[in-house]
Amino acid sequence: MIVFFEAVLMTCVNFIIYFAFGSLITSRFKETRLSATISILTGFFLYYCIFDIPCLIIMLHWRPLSWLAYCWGIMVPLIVIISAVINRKAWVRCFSEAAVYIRENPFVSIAGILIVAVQTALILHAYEFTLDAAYYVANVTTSLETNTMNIYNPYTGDWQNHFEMRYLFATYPMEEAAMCYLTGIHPLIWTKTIMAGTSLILSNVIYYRIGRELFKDKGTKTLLMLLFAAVVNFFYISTFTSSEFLLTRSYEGKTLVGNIVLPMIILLFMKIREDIKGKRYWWLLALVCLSSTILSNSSDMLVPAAAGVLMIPFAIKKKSAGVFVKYLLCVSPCLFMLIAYVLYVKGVFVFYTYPPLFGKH
Amino acid sequence: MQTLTVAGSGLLYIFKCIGYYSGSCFYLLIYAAALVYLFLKGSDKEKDLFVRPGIMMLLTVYNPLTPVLIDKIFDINKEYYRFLWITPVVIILSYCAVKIVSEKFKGRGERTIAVVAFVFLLMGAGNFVYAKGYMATTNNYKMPGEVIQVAEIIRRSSTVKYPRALCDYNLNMEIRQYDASILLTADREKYMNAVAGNITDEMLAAEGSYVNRLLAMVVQERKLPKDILLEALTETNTEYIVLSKESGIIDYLKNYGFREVGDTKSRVVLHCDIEGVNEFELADYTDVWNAQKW
Repeated sequence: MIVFFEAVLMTCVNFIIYFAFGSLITSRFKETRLSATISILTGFFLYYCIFDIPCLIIMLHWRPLSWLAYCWGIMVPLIVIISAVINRKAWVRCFSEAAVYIRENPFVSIAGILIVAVQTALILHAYEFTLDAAYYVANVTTSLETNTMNIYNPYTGDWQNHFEMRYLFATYPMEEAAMCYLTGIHPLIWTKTIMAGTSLILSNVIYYRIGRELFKDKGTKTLLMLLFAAVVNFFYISTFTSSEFLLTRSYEGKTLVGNIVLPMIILLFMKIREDIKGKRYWWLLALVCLSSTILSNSSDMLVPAAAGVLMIPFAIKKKSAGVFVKYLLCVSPCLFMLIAYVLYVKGVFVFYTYPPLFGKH
Repeated sequence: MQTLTVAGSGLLYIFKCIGYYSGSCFYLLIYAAALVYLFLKGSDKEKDLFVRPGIMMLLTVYNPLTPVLIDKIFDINKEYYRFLWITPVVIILSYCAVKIVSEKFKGRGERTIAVVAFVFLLMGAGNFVYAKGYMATTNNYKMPGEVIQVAEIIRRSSTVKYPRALCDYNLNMEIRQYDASILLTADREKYMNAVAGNITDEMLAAEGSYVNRLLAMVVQERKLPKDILLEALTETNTEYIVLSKESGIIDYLKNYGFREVGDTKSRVVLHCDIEGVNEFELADYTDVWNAQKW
């Protein structure tokens, strides 16, 4: 029971952190009021972008995980406090508006929460055997056990002489390890319960936002869309679909790419389409693309392709080279990582887990 | 899609990939029908959001040439299916369902029936995630209880900080998720290769093929000569072997010096004191850190 409350508490903490991070950006949107859901989504991506900075610096200097954990343990509360101070009025207004909405639309609100809660309860209470957990979850456990980052092979525990490029810059598991270090929560509980729940709720938040965009804020239609999306997710199962990943392998970074990043790109495209000259959603798209490389290296190919199938026809229709150029700039972090990966595969460079000077290679 | 390759399938790869990807689900077909519907009846906004990107996907992601071209740059065989994630099946299907319910049906009763009908249609066209049964987790770790029990048996009986074990397939994939202080002899790829029956006599005879020899023993129940077994255990620093109680090599291992240190409902944990085993130590980075300026 204690673990249940711990998991619920940490999931809520995750959302509070995302909201605080996100509102640092969304409160700067002058014409629109602060949206809790857009702030949470923005905050999720900003959170991982900021996390990547200390993580890469510490990891590439072969320093321990504990350094990263303490560093992140200081940075996160600091950023949350700064955000709370700067945005306190916007937060109060946002929460009171949300309360009014719930009071005025009790059926839609309660039914929406129920749809998400039932899905979450079902997947969090299920046992799934998946081979990939032997890498992703064990990577968190191994990092915690050895107080290192990506240096030991998660499958066997053996020392690796170089960082595996597929996972070096996708530092999502290291964030999980740092949080486990700080909270003392076992990696299995963190990855398979707390982050699984967090990612499922986030994916539903995106469906909710997409529904609101498509149905012009009509609550009942948005609610129905959430219901149908849940049905499709629970029945679109074949080992390979993103829905299968969402429901059975939610601890993997690529699950977040398939179920949060790709729908988020569609949501941002809807916004960009309505405000083609505005910059804010292009900046958000750039943030999502950059952050996606931190969640999983699968995004290096998927994100440029996903943004491309939306933006290129739109650029052609609008006869706008600007749209195409902005698209290329947004996906450039992914393309850069993709080129780096190809060069690594071709043997052009490698990041060692020990400096060559010390002769361990 | 372990067996599907671009080299083997050529231009047919994408069609086979779609087949594997969809399994027994008809959602991609419904998605295509939804696109046609939006193309014919949709607004300009709907065409921008769904139809034009759909056509673009048909020309790129679903183009038989695309995987062939990408494969020339790097190995895409096992991962191309992820490009199909770009297809917004969940969004379009749920959107079109709501659109049809709200536009084609009037009144609360009609709409309720239409919603139920759509839910059943979507359920019928797909494959339920728990179709083979819902397996509830029995503990907070979402692990079989035996994984935790075996890890605790090894930890309790071991005199070293990082004992090394070779376990049966499922346990080998799960035990380090729970306790990373237990090292494993075989990694995932080698184990999957052994389970697939790909360990040949030539591979076993090859010099330094210690892990494969131990895997052949555990997976195929091949009984190795004592000196070969001890050499493989010493070279891989393996002290523990965890087997199903139904394994046919338990007595064989006990005859060669292994003793039972514990058991669970379906597994037995065997330990052997091997001479010459190197105790695993974590790499010492102190010199590196001292040489750094911070």
